[in-house]
Amino acid sequence: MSVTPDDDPISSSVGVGTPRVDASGATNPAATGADAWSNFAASRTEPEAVTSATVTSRQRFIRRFKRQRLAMASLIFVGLVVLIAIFAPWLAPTDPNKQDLMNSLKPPFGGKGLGTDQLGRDVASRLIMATRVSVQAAFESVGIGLSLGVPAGMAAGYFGGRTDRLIMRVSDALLSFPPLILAIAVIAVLGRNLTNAMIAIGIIFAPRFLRLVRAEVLSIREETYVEAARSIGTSSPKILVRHILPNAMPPLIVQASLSAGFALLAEAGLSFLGLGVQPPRASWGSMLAEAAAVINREWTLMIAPGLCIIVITLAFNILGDGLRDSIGRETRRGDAPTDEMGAPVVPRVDDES
Amino acid sequence: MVKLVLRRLSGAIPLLFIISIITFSLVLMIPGDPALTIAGDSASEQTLAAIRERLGENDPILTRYFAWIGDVLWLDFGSSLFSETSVTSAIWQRLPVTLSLAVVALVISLLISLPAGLIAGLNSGTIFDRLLTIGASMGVAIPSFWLGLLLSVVFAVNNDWLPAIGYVSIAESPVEWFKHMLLPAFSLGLASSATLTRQLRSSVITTMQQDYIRTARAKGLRGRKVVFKHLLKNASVPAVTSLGLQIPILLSGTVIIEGLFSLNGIGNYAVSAVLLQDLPVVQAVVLLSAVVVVVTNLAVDISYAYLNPKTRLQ
Repeated sequence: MSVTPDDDPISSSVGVGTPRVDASGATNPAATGADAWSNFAASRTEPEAVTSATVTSRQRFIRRFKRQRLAMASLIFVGLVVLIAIFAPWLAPTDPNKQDLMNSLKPPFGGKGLGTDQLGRDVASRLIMATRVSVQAAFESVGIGLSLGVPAGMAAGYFGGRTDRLIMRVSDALLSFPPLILAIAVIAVLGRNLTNAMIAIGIIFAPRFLRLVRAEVLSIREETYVEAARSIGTSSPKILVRHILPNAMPPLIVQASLSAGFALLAEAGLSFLGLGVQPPRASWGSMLAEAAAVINREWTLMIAPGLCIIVITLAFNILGDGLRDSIGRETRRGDAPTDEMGAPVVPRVDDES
Repeated sequence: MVKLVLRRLSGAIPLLFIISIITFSLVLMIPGDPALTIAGDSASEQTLAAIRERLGENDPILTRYFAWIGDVLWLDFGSSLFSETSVTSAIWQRLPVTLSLAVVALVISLLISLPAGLIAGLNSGTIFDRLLTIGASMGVAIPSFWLGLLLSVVFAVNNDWLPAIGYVSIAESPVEWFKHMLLPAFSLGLASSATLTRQLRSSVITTMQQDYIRTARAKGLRGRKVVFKHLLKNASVPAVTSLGLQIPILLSGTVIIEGLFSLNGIGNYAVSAVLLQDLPVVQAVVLLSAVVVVVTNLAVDISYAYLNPKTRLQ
């Protein structure tokens, strides 16, 4: 891997909108090593020590995160949205799919909540039910992306050589497809429904998680504690899961949060095209498509679903940025370019690694 | 420099090979029988067999791959499963629409992000910078199709200022072409302009802290000269990467925006092909768009060598 020319990842930390808490950033790599050593030593003898060591670095992280008010607010908001999604059927005032053609296209705030759509269905209830689709979309696709990308990334980074080259080539190839075009191709093959749309988005995420994990593994692989574990005969899978994966978690969590924002947008886009959620089920994207069909008669129908998409995508993005700023390690990439899923993109200056 | 270009080009060939394999294997992933999809459930066994023969399904996979890639290298993507027309000519016909949309969107996003990013970066911390940063975060989160709907409402439904549907060829009437492109291209380009603004802003801030900028200022160089002589080229390295990354995003966006604004482009073609499971069309669009991305990445890579001589040394 290579580094963007002319920018030192630590000194460049000013470059992002939210205030950064910097103090421990520079000293941390060493600290991680020490933590890991005590981790390793403890894992052989006294298990309590393990927890105390991890708690310290976690506490440091939580302290930094708490100082970022906007990110904290986003976390609470995302939590609320997840709750709404879980309890949607009980929260919705009426049946979201119940048609009432006598009362169709009622404008919002005209007596009955947010009005009704062209089939007389209650907009507020549909919005609430659609929260479910969006949250499900975010979790499923990120889950699929993680479960495809993480093992492959660990294998590539840990075993190196031919395995690495092959995996990286395939990942590079996958990264070359424009995200949504790859998604619709997968849907063309598997068929139109929400699950397939989520698989498609998960496939888009996979190479991004893969690269992240591989980079972490490469930087940790040669650490003394990994060598020590290897020398006493710990098996490769155990080293990967016990010693390497925990270190790769923070950047993965950041990436997962930013990916969730993208997943929401992508689900809305695919459902808007009719390639995601199938009628009569409501999604913010499919509601927008229905609103587009009657835009000449009642244009206000498009406002609410759009605002829902914007607000929650924004929350996931702010949350991801806040988490990134709280990690405070060399993983903060400062102003290195990121793609639309927030995955760092490093110019490829022939990686000889 | 020439060596670098050649090395990058040769690196792209195995990548394109794997891309072609992935694209081809879409056919193999189809659950069910493509022949049945085309002919319908009531087709006789002979019809099905004839279709399978035509699709080459009886041949071994490798033979099918090489037959396919052999045609593709001559830009022959076969014919659509349903309309029997040549996929290549259908795409060729629609290319001007998609190209216009993507190019105008890119130009719009540059026109917004270059001044915005530069001004925000040079005045970081001010109210103006804060507002721009908030605006950029919003811009990333706004779905292009929602913006498109909103613009249609304002400019076409409630008022009669701009057309919201259809395409007029630039040869026919440049003014009408531009009018028809404005709304879709702005909807498509706004998210890109937000990303680019953020990127440019942060690279301007980083670059302004470098020693050589301090030196330039210390020796009494005027502000504007520092910006144009020292800052821009150095700050543009990450910005160029970001710009390259906008290409796949814009291509993805055309898929949605073309449908919304009734533009008969490649994206629209792809979506209708997905609805029909018309795989030759889907494969052609997927492969071509990936090739565009690979070529863009090559161009970005090579531009580093120009912008930053350090990367030329190996």
